[in-house]
Amino acid sequence: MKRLFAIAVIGMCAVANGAFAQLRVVTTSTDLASIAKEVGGNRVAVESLTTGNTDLHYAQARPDYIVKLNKADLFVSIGLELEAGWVPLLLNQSRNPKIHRGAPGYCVAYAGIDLAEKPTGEITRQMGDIHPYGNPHYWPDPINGIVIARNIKESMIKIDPAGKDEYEKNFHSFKDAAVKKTKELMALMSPHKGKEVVVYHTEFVYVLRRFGLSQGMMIEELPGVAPSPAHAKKVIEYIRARKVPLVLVSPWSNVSYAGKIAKEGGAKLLVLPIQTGSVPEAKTYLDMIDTSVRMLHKGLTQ
Amino acid sequence: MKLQKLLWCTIATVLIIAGGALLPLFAQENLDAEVDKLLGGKSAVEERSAEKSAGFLDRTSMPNIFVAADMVGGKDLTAQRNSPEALTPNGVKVRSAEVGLFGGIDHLALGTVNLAVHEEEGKYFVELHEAYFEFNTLPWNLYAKLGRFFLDVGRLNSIHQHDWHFTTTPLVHAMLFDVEGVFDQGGEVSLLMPWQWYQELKVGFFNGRSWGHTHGEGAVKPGPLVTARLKHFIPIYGELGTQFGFTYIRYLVDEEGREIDHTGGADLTFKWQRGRYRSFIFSTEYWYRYEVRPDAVQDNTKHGFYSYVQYQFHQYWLAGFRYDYYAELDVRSSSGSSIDRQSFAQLLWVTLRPSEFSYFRITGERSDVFGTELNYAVYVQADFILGYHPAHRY
Repeated sequence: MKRLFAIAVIGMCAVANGAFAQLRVVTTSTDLASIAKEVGGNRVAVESLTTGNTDLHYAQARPDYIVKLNKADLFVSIGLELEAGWVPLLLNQSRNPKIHRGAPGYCVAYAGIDLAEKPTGEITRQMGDIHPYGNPHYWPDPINGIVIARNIKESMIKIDPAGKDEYEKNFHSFKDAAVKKTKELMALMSPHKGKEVVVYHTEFVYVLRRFGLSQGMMIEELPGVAPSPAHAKKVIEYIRARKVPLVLVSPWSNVSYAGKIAKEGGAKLLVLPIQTGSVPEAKTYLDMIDTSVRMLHKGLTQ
Repeated sequence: MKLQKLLWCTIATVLIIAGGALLPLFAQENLDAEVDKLLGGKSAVEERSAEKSAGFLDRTSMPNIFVAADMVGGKDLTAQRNSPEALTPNGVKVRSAEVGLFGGIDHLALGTVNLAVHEEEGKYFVELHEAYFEFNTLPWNLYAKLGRFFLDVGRLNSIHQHDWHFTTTPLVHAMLFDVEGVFDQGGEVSLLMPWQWYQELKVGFFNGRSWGHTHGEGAVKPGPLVTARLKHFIPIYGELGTQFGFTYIRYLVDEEGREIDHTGGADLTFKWQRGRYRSFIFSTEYWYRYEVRPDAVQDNTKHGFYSYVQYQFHQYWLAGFRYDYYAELDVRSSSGSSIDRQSFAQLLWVTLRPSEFSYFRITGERSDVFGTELNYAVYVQADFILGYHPAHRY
């Protein structure tokens, strides 16, 4: 009986050890989680703290996130102060120095990305909810997705050197798929090159830049600041005067208000799902890119 | 001649079509080059920390700084003011201004210093609200605070007043704690339980020389002020979650340690939020105190609760309601009979919050403290924060 018990305990330990051998990766967003899964393959267990329809500026510092971070080997965030309202507190409370800032388990995904809208000169809060280090909504550009994947891969190798070959192989597969998808979508979007769209919040700048579109006026008066009636009127006049075909808004922004502006101006409203899992079709990161860009194409074609 | 023209037109058309077809190919070649270039740059790991390399976020040598100002105006609508809040009636004042500094001390701990300027009877006093270490690198899921700070008991006590969702202190807090909460000097250690769900146990030991928000040194006691708190969180659905906790506080009142206050409490919060446009909170705290008084005719029993809801119905606008109840049980009246002395208050407010860094609030309050006449009051409040403000707890 004792021998049976000992075997059972050893067996359970072995199973547990096998389970824990996977690298536990926690990300702030579903896009980072999807990319981390692609790169990590079977060697990692990945979890996103938020869902595909969470406004990453305004996520809550939920205590259950502390539990997830407590058990993480690698933490991946967007950075550039996008998650400043909730991540620092969670990291501080995580009791997990492995993922504190500067530790090997702390990966900021934007390293190496050509950041847009870096403000120059003096910055004050009277300029709105401005991001002083550049626009942090960089992931909807699939080429930036490759850079994110590279950063995650190198963090994984640092923590789990034994998996280097697999991480490298997975990364190259992801890179090839992302480049192929980008080329395909660039060809699709080539007839729309130079077209202008109006946006609710400046969170589409990277995807527009990649596919040759330009960002016109913003419905928000300043970043994060709701439009006044006078500003809304200006946007409507702008849409009419320049015959802007589309107004873009994310699912977590003020969709109904953007809809009214689009209707008044005679443009179409497009709720663009720029986070993985935001709509059922956007199951993976590249699915999300594909879905978003095809929606843009459709919106500009009709 | 016509044939020549036709030929040139054909050649031009072919070139245009071919050019159009080739353009994406050129763009694709550029894309490959762009990818190679981007991947040729340093990664997060090579630079150890991208933020550090960028030289702007990881300023370990410089603390983060914030300044918060809290302004309140009050107007009594009845002749006699009975509110325990003790706001200057019928006037406006800067209730407090707070300067906070926080950041990494070294590889082991974080540090925080909060200085507050308070108005009391027309004069402003500078006091050290908080100065503490936070040891966030301890083993075995432990976390510790050491220094002077607001005790982590219940929900409201450790939240700074300018971050409260309402203007005035709930009756039960004003009576059992203090208008702005209880701080003391000592230490707290918390343990994050090793479960898959959130449960945290915290114990604290403090000087216990005084209680509340007093400015005096207080008296040396034979034993410490002891706190214990067990806190939980359960996600319900989507962005809706609930946090609940239980607290015990033991405070020695006199220098001999014969008079003891035993205070127990329970708190519950439901929160939901959809980005910056909609949010809802329901929060309640119940407190019960048993005061051991060997030299008095009898021991004292006091209890009370507050509950509030707040709904954000617009990006900038929120509305809330709070109900307060407080009672001192089995009190001897002048005729010698036993009575319960009860107090009630109801508040209704609307808040305009143009950003995370400022808000303006108007509140209507109806209160009945210990059965004296009903008191009606209106408050206006305006708060702002300059600089960096730490993330809010759940």
